Amino acid sequence: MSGESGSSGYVRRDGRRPDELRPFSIRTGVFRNADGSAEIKLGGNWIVVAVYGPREHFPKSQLSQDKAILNCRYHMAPYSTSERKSPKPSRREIELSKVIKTALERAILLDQYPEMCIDVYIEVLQAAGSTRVASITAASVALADAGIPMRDMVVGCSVGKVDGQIVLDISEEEDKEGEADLPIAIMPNLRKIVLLQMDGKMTHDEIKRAFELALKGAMQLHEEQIRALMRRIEEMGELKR
Amino acid sequence: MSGSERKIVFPGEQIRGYGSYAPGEGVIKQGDKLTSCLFGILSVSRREVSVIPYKEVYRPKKGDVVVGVVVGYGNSGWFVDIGSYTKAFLHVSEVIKGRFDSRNVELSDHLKIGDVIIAKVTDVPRIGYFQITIKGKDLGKVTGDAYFIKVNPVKLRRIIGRRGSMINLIKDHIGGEIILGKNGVIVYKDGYESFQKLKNIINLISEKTFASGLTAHVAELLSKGSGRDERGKRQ
Repeated sequence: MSGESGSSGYVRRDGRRPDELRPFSIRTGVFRNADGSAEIKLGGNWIVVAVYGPREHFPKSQLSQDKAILNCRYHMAPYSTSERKSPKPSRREIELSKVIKTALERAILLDQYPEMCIDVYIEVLQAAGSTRVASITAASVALADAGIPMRDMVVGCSVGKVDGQIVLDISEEEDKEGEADLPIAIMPNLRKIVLLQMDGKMTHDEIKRAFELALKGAMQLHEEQIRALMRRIEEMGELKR
Repeated sequence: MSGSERKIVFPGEQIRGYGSYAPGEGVIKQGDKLTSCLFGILSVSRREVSVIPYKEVYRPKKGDVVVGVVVGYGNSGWFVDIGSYTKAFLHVSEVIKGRFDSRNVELSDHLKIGDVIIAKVTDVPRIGYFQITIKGKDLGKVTGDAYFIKVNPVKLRRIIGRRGSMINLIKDHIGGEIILGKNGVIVYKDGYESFQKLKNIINLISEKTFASGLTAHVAELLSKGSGRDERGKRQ
């Protein structure tokens, strides 16, 4: 597969074009008991998010006087990976919880709820690469579903370099074998970046191209976010006789 | 808010065409642009644009009549859960006349944990507990047989209907005393059977909030139901 020049003819391991997302769908209102919830399926990824709040923060000694605190937990189920994962929060999960928290914090109007907290529980039921950005995309929908005020939605998308090609929405296999991956999350209306990480090496020019590709992918996912919320309204408008 | 021109907005969506309007609830100004910060329906009044959220955690306003449950005792009053993001505090002076001496007055002699009260919000501080009172007409402890339904507070608008059309319809058909708390708690005082009927209707309204012709549909259901009742009584 190597040696081919020109990205247009390049076919990826799973048969996708370089600029193609895996099949995706987002659904809201998956949990009855949470204040807001969402589910995302992106290729083999299957992630559910539940949101609680705003509610009183405990312990009182750790609350913030001028804004709400966002608690975020990213957790992978033991059966989410090919080899059983210990349910104990790993180093990686703690890092991703923090990274997702900072990304969502930019969007939520936390100053409207001083001394409160908002909880976001992300449960990865099945992982197949790019879970952090998929989690952010779903979490944002769950927050909107819960009626929590936000500056903008947040949507994430990943790009990477595999076999010398810049590809969109990298899968687990591409992540392991590729040269670089770059997850980004943006606020699509405000055109602001809230998450930007990179593993591996890319040239200046490649990053630029990767970035543009990621933005395109993110906008597609953003449309699905809107559709998912819209479906919720439509459900409330149908009378069954 | 007429039925035909509902506009659904999403967080971050720019609201165009209302340049000189003030941002109301659910709308923020980013730069010089009005932006929605909630997922819901756009509502425009004379000077203000706001968003009616699709779902929310109750945010009390001064003067709201709410239904709450006593959940704890403080040094000088009761903590009341009004289903919001923090508790409300009912000061003892709102309940007991004259001087209060904690050495010879037991708070639980007046209101116990688990008691349900109808209260009015008197203050909503930025931080700390909401202040409520039970002084006033139709306020105070709920006594006798009563049933409760909890709905999301944004649904109340639909349950009441335009100029009270929906709630009057329900009251006419079901009877009994119905009290709507602004926090989404509905108190019903009458028999259990009619409560079940009310509950079904309320659940239908909160599930199908945006359906057009909902009032007519409810009217149909109600008249069917009451017809059955009358037949039952005759036998």
